[in-house]
Amino acid sequence: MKSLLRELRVARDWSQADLAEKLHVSRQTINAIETEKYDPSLPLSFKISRLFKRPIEEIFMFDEADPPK
Amino acid sequence: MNTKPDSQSSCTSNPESWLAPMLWGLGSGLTAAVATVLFLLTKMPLPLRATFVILPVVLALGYVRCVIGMFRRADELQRRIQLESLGFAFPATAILVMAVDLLQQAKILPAIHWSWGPIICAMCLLWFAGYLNASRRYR
Repeated sequence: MKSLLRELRVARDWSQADLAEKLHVSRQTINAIETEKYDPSLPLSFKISRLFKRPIEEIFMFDEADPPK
Repeated sequence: MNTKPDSQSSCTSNPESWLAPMLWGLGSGLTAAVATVLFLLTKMPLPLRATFVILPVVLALGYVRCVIGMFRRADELQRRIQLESLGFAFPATAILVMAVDLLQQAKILPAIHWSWGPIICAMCLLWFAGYLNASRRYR
């Protein structure tokens, strides 16, 4: 799934480790989401949405052609 | 909604936490090995033999408890990786055991009596191989 996570993170000058700490996940999880290798769960998506104060659908772009990861 | 690591238990999701289940596992394996040797070499009374049967099992339960606790506190990607690792290791071990047994029955391999030890070692190695493969996929 495509996302704006990297852009939003870089705009705040946060490292992947900083964001991982704020979301209580591993840095590997943040990297996997940013590189589209892993689709986050709904609870994690809500946490990301609240952290960046943006609706989920603005951060994550669902494309039906993409196979689930 | 809570993905925050639980600090209540002795096992945590950081790499150092592998020490606790490793100690439980090693303790279980060592006591099982000692028990096997003692059963072969000595004639112990029944209560002592029963104790040596129960001890490795209790330690193995401690190992299982620690590992389950680690999975519960791990973040969602680590849980996915572990699920894929175990999803590979469990059927792969079953196929390996079936293949070796059929080869022995077909007399292609020599018929050797083998107990749970090699099966558990194979399962652990395949779990580790599955873990490395799944970790690489999400790197």
